[in-house]
Amino acid sequence: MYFLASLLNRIIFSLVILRFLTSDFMMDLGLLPERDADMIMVEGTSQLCNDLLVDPQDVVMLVISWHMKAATMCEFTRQEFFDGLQSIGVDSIEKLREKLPSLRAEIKDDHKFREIYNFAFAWAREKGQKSLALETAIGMWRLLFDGRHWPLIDHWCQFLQVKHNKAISRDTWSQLLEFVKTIDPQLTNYDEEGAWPYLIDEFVEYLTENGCVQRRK
Amino acid sequence: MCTQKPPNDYSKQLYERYKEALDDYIKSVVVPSLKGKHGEFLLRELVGRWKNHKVMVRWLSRFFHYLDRYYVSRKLLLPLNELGQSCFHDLVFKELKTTLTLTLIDMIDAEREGQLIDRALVKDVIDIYVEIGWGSLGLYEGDFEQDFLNSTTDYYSKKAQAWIVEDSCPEYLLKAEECLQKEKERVGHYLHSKTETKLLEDSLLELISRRAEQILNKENSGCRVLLLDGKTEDLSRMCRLFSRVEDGLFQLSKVFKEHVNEEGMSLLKSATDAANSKNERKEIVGALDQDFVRKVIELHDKQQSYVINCFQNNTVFHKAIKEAFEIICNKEVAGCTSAESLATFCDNILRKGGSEKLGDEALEETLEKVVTILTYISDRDLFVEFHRKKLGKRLLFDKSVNDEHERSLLSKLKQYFGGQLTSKMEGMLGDMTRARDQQANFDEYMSQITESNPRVDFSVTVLTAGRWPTYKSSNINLPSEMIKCVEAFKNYYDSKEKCKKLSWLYSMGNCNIVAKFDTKPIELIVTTYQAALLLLFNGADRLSYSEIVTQLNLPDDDALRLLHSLSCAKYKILNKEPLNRTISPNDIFLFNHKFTDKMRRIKVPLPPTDEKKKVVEDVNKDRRFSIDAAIVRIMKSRKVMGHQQLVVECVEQLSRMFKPDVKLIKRRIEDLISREYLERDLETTNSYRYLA
Repeated sequence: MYFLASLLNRIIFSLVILRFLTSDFMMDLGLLPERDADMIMVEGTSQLCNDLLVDPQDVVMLVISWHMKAATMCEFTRQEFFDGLQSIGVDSIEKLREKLPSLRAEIKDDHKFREIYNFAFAWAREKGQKSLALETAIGMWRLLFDGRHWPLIDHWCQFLQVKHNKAISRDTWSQLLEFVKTIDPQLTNYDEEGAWPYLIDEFVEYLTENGCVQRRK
Repeated sequence: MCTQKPPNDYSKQLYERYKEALDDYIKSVVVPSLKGKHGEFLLRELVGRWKNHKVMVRWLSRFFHYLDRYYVSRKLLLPLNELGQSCFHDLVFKELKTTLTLTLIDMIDAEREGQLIDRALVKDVIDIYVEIGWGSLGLYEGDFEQDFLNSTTDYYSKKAQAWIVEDSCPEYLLKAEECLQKEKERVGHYLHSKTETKLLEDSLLELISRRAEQILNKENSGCRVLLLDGKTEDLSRMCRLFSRVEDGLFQLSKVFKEHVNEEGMSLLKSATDAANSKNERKEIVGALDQDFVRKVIELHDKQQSYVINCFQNNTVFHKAIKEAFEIICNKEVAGCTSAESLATFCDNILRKGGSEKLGDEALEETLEKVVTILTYISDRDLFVEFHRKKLGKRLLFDKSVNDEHERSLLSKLKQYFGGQLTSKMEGMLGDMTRARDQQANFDEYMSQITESNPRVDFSVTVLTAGRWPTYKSSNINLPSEMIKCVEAFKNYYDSKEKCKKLSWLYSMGNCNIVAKFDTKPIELIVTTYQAALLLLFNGADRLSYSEIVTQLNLPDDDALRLLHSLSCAKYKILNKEPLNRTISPNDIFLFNHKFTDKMRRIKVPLPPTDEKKKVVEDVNKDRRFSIDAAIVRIMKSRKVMGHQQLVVECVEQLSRMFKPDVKLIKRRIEDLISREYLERDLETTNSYRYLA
């Protein structure tokens, strides 16, 4: 009895997927016609946000993109889109909309946050670039650390704009998360002889010079 | 009486009677005779009585020899000889020993004060101590030696206190050495040899150890003053004495190190002050840093001689010099790093017409000293780069005094710092030798061809690229006479070396050109560029700045320098309109017919461009590569490594060439991470992993 029910479930689910693949559904979503029928581009993404009733700047879009393993911000391939929806476990826009709060909550989970954070670097990058443009990085950081209350976020962004003014490398990006997680806001446990990237060392110096923290030398 | 069997064996009684007899004798004769006597009389009497006693006991033991052999050994009693001595000891010696010791010590002190005493008597009494102890020194040490040493300590403590206040340091040391010598002799005269070490130790303790601070820092005559005044004998004495006490040398070396440091600092200060007060005139500033180098070398020589002659060549002192000089030699003076100053110094001694003229031996010595100073400088690669540039100039303009000396310096550098630093320069010297050989062949070739022969004496030096510093050279339009020379050599070279390409560096050439002035013709020694410029005036009397630039195809900055050297400097070969000291693009130039000079041949110098910045840039670039290479090398062999460890190893590997900045190493690591040579190790914090 049970076996039959799960089999039935699976069939229904696959049928739903098939339904997805029909262009009717795509048209419902207003995602067609596009120039490239296999991609959702900027306008499509914007439309998607409208349908979901979210701000395109909402962090949940990042979470969704992560589920979809999207390669670039505001672009989804057909494969990415459907695989992602499947991994989220929804088959309609309404269901996706309902899922939004729980998706947003995924950020609070430490393990998932780390993955989403590290994913964000490559996702927010310009295509073909190795590093992340500073403005984009700052925007992403503000978005990501907003809910996590990192007290030094403002100082960090200010420091970057005043002293660095260049793109951010992947190493710096991933090491910043470590920094946020392990170093306390008064920097008492920061070891400058450690393997922290050069930019973070400079940041600590900047904070000390400007009296934002008192450090024992 | 002894051989009979009991109860007729009277051995025991015999033994006891023997002892009683001796005791009686001592009590009745010896003790009274000693009573009432004092001082030396007591001693004399005692010695006499002891001698008698010894004789008596010896004879008596002989009488009772049989008893000794059988009864005593069987019953494990004291042999008769010793029994006799113990009687004397118990009845006489024990009572008198304190008095004896005091008397002896008084006599010894008297001798120390310079009085004559009866040494033989003292020796005899001391011998009693030794003999009565049955050969072991227990009595000697317990009853005499300990008190003697205590009194010695007191004696010298008082004396030292007095002397240290009254006497100057050298005088004190002299007295101390004398005292120690006398004590040593004393042991030879009448004390037991075992006392020697302890005696000297205690004396040294009082005289030197306890007063070490005061001796070293005595005002107006302490160690610092002796060093400044060069009092080698006193310093040697000081070293000898201090080396005998624990930590003595260490304390001495501390003072020495302070001295060297201060001397060095004052040198630095006077050089910096002089530079600051005269910062307009460039030549004087140049001489200042040379002066500094010379003074540093002198200071080093002086301190080295101290260490070798006075301080027993001890490593502690060498270390002090090293630490002090490492500080002195890494400071900037008069705007130049020490590396650059040292390179300029070398240039001056190795150049013909340099400011230093030294004979062969003196030159070799000086070069040796230069290399020693270089060991203290951490930026060696900077020195090498400056030296290479200057070497290039010397070789190309034929200014080197002697090839031998150049090679000798290079081989010294190689010996100390490895071949990596010197391989390029050795190549440069090789090129010059080959060029000379080649010139001979080329001259032969030229004498054989007739049509394309430019009929101008010229030589070409072929350099191997990569060994020589990079020289800027532009595509200047040469006059036709020179072009013919170039063509001729090109043909010759292409016929000999098919696969090699020549790029011509006209900016580095020089030229002798005869200029026909109104008064007399004068030979001008100029650079090729200058010559090309002057030859333009064969075709025209007046030329404007822009005409010159166009005809020669010169970049502006070169043109400015050239024209300045020919029209605004010491020798005005060209006249300039308007007549001022700066070149502007609107100027007109004319050949100065009226120029003359008392010499037939003059050199018109072209001041060199400041290369300092470029050298520093090049060295910094090379350093980045070296650091990258070192990091990759280390990581490749270790696979995984902690951050701190990596930094430390990197610094060590590169220490021969330069001292890498830790921050720079960190940045290079990050760069290598982004280039995917390394990655951060996910399991251990602060570690890296090599990516194959």
